[in-house]
Amino acid sequence: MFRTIARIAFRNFLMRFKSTLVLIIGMSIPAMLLVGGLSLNDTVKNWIVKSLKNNFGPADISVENPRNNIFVRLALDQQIVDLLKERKDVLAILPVSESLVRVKYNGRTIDCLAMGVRSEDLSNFVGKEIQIPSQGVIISRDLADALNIKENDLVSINMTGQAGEFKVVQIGEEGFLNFKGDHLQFPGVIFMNADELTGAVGFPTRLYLHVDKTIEEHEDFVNDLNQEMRISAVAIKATLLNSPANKALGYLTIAFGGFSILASLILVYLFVQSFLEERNTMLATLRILGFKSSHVFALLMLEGFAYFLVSGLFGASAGMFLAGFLLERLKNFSSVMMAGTLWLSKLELQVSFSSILAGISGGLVLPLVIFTAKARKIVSGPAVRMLRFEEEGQSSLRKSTGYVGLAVIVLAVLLTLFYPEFSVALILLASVGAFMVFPSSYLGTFLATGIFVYVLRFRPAELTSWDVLQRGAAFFLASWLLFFSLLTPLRKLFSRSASEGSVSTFVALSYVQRNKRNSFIIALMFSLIVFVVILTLVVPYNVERFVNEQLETGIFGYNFMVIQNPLKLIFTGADLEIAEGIEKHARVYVAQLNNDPVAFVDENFLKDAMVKSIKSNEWRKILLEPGTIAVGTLGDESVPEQINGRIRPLFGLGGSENLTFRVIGKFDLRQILVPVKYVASINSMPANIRFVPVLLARVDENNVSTVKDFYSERFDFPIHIVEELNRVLSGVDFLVKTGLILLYFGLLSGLSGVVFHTMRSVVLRRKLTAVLKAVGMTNKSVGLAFVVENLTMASLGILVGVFASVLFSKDVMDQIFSMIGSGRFLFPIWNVLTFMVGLYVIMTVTIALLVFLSKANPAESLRVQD
Amino acid sequence: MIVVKELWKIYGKGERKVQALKGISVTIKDGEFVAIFGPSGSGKTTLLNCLSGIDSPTSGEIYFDDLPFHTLSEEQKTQFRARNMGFVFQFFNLIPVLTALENVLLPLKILGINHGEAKQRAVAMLEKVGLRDKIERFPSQLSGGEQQRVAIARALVHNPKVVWADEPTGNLDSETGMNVIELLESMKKELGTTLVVVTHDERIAQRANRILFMRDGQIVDVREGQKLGSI
Repeated sequence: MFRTIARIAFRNFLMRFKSTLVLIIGMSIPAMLLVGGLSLNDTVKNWIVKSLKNNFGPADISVENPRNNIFVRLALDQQIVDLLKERKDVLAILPVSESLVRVKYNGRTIDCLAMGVRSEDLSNFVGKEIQIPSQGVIISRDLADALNIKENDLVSINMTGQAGEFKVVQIGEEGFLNFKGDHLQFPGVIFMNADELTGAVGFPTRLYLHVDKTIEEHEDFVNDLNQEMRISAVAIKATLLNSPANKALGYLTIAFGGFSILASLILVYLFVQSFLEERNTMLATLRILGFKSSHVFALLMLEGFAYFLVSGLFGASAGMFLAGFLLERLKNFSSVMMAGTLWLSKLELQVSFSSILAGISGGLVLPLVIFTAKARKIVSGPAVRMLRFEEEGQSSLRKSTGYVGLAVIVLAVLLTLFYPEFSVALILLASVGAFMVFPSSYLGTFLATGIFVYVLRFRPAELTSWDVLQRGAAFFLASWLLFFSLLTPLRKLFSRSASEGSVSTFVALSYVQRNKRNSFIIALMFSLIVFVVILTLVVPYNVERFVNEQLETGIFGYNFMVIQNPLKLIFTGADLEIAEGIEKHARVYVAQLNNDPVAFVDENFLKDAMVKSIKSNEWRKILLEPGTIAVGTLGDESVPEQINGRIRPLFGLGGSENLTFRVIGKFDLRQILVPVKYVASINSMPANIRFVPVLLARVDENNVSTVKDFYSERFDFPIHIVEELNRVLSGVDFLVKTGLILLYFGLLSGLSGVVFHTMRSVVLRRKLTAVLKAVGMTNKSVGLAFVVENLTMASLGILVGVFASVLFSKDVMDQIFSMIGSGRFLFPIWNVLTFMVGLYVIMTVTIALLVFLSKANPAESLRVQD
Repeated sequence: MIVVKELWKIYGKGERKVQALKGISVTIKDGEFVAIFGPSGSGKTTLLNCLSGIDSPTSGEIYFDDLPFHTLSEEQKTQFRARNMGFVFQFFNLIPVLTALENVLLPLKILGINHGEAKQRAVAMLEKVGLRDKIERFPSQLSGGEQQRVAIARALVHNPKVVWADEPTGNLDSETGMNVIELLESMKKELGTTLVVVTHDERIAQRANRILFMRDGQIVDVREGQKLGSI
């Protein structure tokens, strides 16, 4: 019996394979995205494991001064070094001072990390004899390769305050000598004598420890150390290995791909439905011939499994290509994805067997569950019921739907009494229930309008995450109700018109309206993907605009910041010089007030600074009064009338003083890019505190490099704000564009669904097509009806997606603005239009080609058996 | 009047060549009820399809009141059909997503008749076939006989000169089948339409003015139906 079942299943599969090839493309998407995402994780994990050996060597843990802050890195006490050396579980220790330097060789320049070390410490740490002579450096292999540097070459190193020529005495081949930073974020490291590295505040600013623990034990060990010794120790190997950021791209693929996977599963449902409908007669015949229902079920499962397996294998292969493609994109993208992540240029695609298996299984499980459920339902009844399977265009709501609807209404009303905060969700639930009881287009339109009015009119002043979710669901479902309800009047409108084109549209709309299930399935695929695609277009568009506005403002209207090297403060009280190329500047002196940064600003600042959140200019005068202060807040926080507290220097040296300030106003912290909690004028500055001088400046883009060099050569730390922000922005841009690519796979599923439905309709309705031609409809009109029908199905979804996302995107942006600062919402109409036009062109051309190329002779079509 | 001269229909090529119609010549007068009678595979439906223009003959001539129908393009044939012909099929072939009324309205819409007039005519036609109270029902909500009556209404609503009916009772029980034929006959009489019915049911053929007996693609005999006893 099994052989017969297998033979029928296999022949069915081969005979109908061509017609479902298009489905295989759509159904392979879950496996493709899963294998793609997991392969990316494999790749990064494999690369990190390799990197731990090639770039870290014995460096397991780093130790820093816990009082470090964004302005200064402080030296560690010798006592801490001695205490750590005494520990038996610390096998080796390397004290270093670190600073960012710029290496120039052969006309090329790279910013990298420089480590000032003592040769004997380095030798002990890496376990081999190393001698760094005066004016000599060891350059890590990756950095040497990047600049094509060889041993004995002379390289120019521009440190903070000093530029000099150094001889490369050794290339650090692997292990710690090829270190690239805790997160592999640097192109490489230069090792030099500690006394020749300028720019660091004392020695050592950092310790690297090799410990007698496994990587899994490092985190616990570090926690104990931090508690015992009040240091800031980090388990660098364990952190890199376990950091979720390293899996970000893989998970991003799966997360964004999730919507596409969902769309693909909807396609699977469409396929399963059609598959079972088409086999009804055959299955009934087999049952009549004596096949048990279990045999028929086995036959269905065998054939269905064959389709899903082929889709899974196809998807897994495509998934590997997808991973390769995304990896290339990532590598082509600038060296840093986002702050603190990876240097990825040497990433090579790694795909594990388990990922392929997981991807195929993941892509198979849900389709098989759907398939099994439907197949069981079909075969469980008597044979004659199979023959009465619902024909196309005859789907209707069951009686039980009304009772379920009624129950839903009652449930919604009851829940409203207990959870009034979920009113939107419950109104939505009740509306769906009402529509289930009375599925009329008038009621649908009424309910949809009611929901829109309620949600738009009663908008809470501050949206919580729950509010946003509820409102999103409301916009989405109400759009569904509205557009599906509009079908009836639209169809009526065309039924009254008497041109040939309108007859086609009328027939097409009739099919859409009566084929509720298929119309809903196809529209759902498109609505989900279009909804997410548009949100994905809206958010970065507004964030980008917001950041660009921020860039114009910069830090209080300045685009350049120079932090004075705190070392200088010990020896000199001189202020930062003003470099040529600076258009306007202000001097700011930074310290801590109650552990938050406080900036004392000069008159230039009070005159020129831009503070968007304060409309009136009065503060510029009032802040000049001694003892006054402005407080930075996040949003609508209230501020006290006065602030009492202790002012301390940022880096611990120097005295402290208790002061009281009168609060004269507040500014929005989210709009100033640098976390300065308090701003006061220099007239309020206490005398005995060592402040870190900071210069805020406006520098023309053309002069940025010269001005940067000017301050680097003087030991100070120049920061070009635009450059830093652009780096972050390009990271966001990269993520969004990658996300969009993954969402387009969902559109592929949608398109696959439409194509499948078109092909199926053309074949199933051969006879009706012939009848339409017999009664006088031209080929063109009949074809047009098919095109209009399928485009309408997709368009319903697209309209729902667009309408809901347009309404919802403002909520999402408001939520984002509440985190990053107040901005103005704008809808990216041109981006969305371009996307829509592209989508429609592809869809229309595909459907039209399918319809008009599949011309059948009406006489032959009329002979087709029902 | 429909004049057919030397009509040939050949399917396939070479060894697979099948001669479905072999030089058929016949004349059908206006208002006549003609039955095409014969066993399965004799070429009845092929002849009807060629005459109505939904299939093209391999050779031969067809004239509708001196109009050389065989020389018209597909587009012109379609337009001619829309104005002058009505069809009734064995499996009713109603559009399942349209109501009975909408199915009957369809030929009028194709002809561009305005909605008000079209609706009036369609309702009147449905009333004539006894379905006034079921005009808003979908085909799946009607019995087989009712569906065929809708199909007849659709075939006649635009006052065609000729109605082609291919086994119109083939999918109905005998009593309903006779009812349908009686309806077709009475409508033909009332509207003066030419009626050409393909059938292998003797009782139906006997009601025709003339019976064309077909075998192997040829008309082997022509008899007057109403004067016939047993075929």
